[in-house]
Amino acid sequence: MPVPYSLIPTPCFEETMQSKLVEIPPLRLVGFDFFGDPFRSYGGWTEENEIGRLWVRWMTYMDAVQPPLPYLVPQPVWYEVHVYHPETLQTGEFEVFADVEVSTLGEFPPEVVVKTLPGGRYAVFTLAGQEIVSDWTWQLDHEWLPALGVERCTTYSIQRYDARFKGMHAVDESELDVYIPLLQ
Amino acid sequence: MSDLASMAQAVDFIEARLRDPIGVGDVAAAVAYSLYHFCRTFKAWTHFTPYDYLMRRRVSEAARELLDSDRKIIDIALDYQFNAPETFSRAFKRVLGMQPNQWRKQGRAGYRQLMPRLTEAHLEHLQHGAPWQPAIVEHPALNLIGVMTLGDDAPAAWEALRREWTACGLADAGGEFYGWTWCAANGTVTAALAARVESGANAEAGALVAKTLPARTYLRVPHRGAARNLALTLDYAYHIWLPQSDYRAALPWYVEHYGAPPNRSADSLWDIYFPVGRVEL
Repeated sequence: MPVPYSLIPTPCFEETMQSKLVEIPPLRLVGFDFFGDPFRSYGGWTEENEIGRLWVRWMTYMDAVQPPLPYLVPQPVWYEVHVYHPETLQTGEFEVFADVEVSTLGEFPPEVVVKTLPGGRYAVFTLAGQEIVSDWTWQLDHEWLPALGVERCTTYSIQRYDARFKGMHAVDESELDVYIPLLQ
Repeated sequence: MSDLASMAQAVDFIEARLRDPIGVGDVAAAVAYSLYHFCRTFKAWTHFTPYDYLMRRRVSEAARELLDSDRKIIDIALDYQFNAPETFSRAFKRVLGMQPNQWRKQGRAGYRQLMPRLTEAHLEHLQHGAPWQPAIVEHPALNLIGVMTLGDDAPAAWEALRREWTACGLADAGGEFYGWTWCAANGTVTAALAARVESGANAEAGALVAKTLPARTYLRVPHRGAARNLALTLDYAYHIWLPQSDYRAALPWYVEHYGAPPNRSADSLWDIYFPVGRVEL
């Protein structure tokens, strides 16, 4: 579990915005990934785009795979990691990794992608309701992180979905946490 | 600023910098969007990914310059940020279906072959037209008899059709009216307003012309809205839908199916048929 070491008041944020700085150990994740422009098929908010299809593929696999994947951390938490590659700013193409946490990097089936994300200092923001579908990344870079006086590592970000996230059809009742790796 | 205004501004930014070394990240930053949100929004409004739009427009403008100048192909490629002949050739082939040297040898652009820039009117039309449901259909042959027009559906053209139709003693067209627009080899665009007839009907008299819509594969695109926006629907079919499908325009003409004589109200609905062929892989 993340260990908050500081809770910083953030007066310039919207009232609903919650943020904290945490120190977390390396995160071991297994899942499926996609590289490209994930909105090649459809823009806007739809489960028909490449991110939606990635999630359907991954969830279907997790439901069906026998024996179940080993070393799963026993909590209903799902992660979506966005990884920016060297060409991302040129082409708009990046990697999307839909995954779950595992306790150990053991042997996994070849169709599963395994990643370890670095431990260290992260800023955690809780997005609620319409914030989830807003351009929160822009606000993150231009308002939230400057207000915290920290700089982020721009190569990846993590979205953490747990029971508070009710689905895109019920986004107004949903919350999710965004983990932003910080430059040490 | 609205998403529409921001995306129109993004298109302006791209269009002003087709020869500059810009990336999608630069465009997103110019309109104050994160890359992620920008890619999502740009696709929703333009039906292109930002990078695809940038590349297609660079190829189209480079292709135009290949026809309009004697400059070396590699110099034009470098101007438009294609840093190697192979990269330019690949992109060119993908967009225009041939190599740059073949294009130059061809000497002129085919009917609606070069992608124009998108405008704010295009973006609005794409939003209002949605949800369009273009479909690939097999259409049987159709015999049409009508009058040549200036390519519009003006009342005078309808009156001429009715007059000539009656003079020839043809039966009531039963509400099956069509507009046919085609482009001759010399680039001249011609149009006819016509009604459907059974095969064998006499069209020799008066000012009537006969045409047969061949049985073949068509892309059918509904056009909703004012007649003046037809050009936007044509751009949608030729430059947005077809290039991102497995089909391409096969012949330089299209047919509008009005059903009844079209009115000019904003909620009129026609079907437009484009002869298409499947892309050879």
